[in-house]
Amino acid sequence: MRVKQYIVMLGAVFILVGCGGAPPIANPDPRDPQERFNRKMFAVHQQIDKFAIRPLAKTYEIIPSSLRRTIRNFFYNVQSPVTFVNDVLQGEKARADTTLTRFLLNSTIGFGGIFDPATSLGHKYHREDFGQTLAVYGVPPLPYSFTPGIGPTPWRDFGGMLIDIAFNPVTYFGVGAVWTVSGLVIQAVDARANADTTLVQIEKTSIDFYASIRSLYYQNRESRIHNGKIDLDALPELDFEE
Amino acid sequence: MKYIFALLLCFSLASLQMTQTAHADDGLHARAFVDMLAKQIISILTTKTTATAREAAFADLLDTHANMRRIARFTLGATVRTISDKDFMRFQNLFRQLVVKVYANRLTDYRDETLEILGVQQKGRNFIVASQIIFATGRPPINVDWWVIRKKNGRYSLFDLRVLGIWLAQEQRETFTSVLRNNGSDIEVLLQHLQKQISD
Repeated sequence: MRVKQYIVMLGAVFILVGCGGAPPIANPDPRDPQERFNRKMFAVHQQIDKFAIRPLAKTYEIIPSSLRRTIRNFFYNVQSPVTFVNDVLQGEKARADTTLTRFLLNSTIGFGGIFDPATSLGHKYHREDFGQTLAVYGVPPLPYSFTPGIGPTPWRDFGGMLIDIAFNPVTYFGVGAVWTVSGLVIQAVDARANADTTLVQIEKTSIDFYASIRSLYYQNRESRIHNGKIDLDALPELDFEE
Repeated sequence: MKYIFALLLCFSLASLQMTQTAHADDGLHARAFVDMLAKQIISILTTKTTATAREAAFADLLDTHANMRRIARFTLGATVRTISDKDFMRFQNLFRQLVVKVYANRLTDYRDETLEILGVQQKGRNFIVASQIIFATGRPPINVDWWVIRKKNGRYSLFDLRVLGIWLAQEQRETFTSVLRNNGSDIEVLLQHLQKQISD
């Protein structure tokens, strides 16, 4: 009941913040039609980050880096079935082979994934999610949205994340859903800790932090969707004189 | 008729061969350009110990090997066609100062590293040189792609850098465009933002 009350309260706060009375942006980014609302959500997120997520990430950094790497390895391994399914759905046979080999090696001689012998044997880690699979099938990310406490969540990628949770076999063992969500939270804290220096630098040097984060998110997703490859035909045309 | 056809075929094959050779040479030149640039950057990071000296050396490097006018025009998006030459010069000057300040200091973490070039892709006069920064500490390497343009005079210039999947000029363009969109395309507001960022 208490959790329900918090959710209702949080929803009310978001709605009130969103209905601040300010007119919509006259000429918003076409990818971000709800930009004014999203900027408010971003401001809420920055407060949550300042008082909860960043302190948590800083506390997490107290753990020795070797132990953090072990935790990371474990969760990477747990997620392998999700990556494997998405590799297959994207028709990436070689990458699906790599994922399967990594899972078998790390689950056995890697003691359930806490060690990563697969990387030493040349099978490098990669991650695929259902949002990327949808992108491969031509589903556009629109519209952009920003969820406080989570980050950029265009509908395609947010939906993809929920489907990934459903796809993960761990979700269905015992207290699986709690386990899966806990794993996501730990990974998010780990990622936040790793990105701290970069985020501080970007915030310090960007003239519009919200727009920078949006750009970084889209570019990073595009890069992941294309597995880091550059499509020369997709590069912007430089139609001006030298 | 057959002779003419055979002759044309020979010419086509010969010119195709020449084009491929020229492209391969271009790839080598672009690769050598990036190699030279990386060595100069590492030299600046190791020999210039103060922020002021580093920034001055980076400014020289950019003026020599990057076409700042072209990059500045790109980052302004469509707005570049609507502003006066004078405003554009003011923007270019502030943009150059921002780039020097931001990246001369961001790159200080990379002074003991080496750069390995992995390959080159080409489209017309555009080259993407793929490379990896190898860390002495054993940290996983970082992928860096260099967008290099062969100018009409045959010289090469740096247009953009892609670090971990992020094109830096593209990111600047989206940020500047956002400021302009949110302020009625008023270039003065963007110039004020840049000025403030440089002064901070």
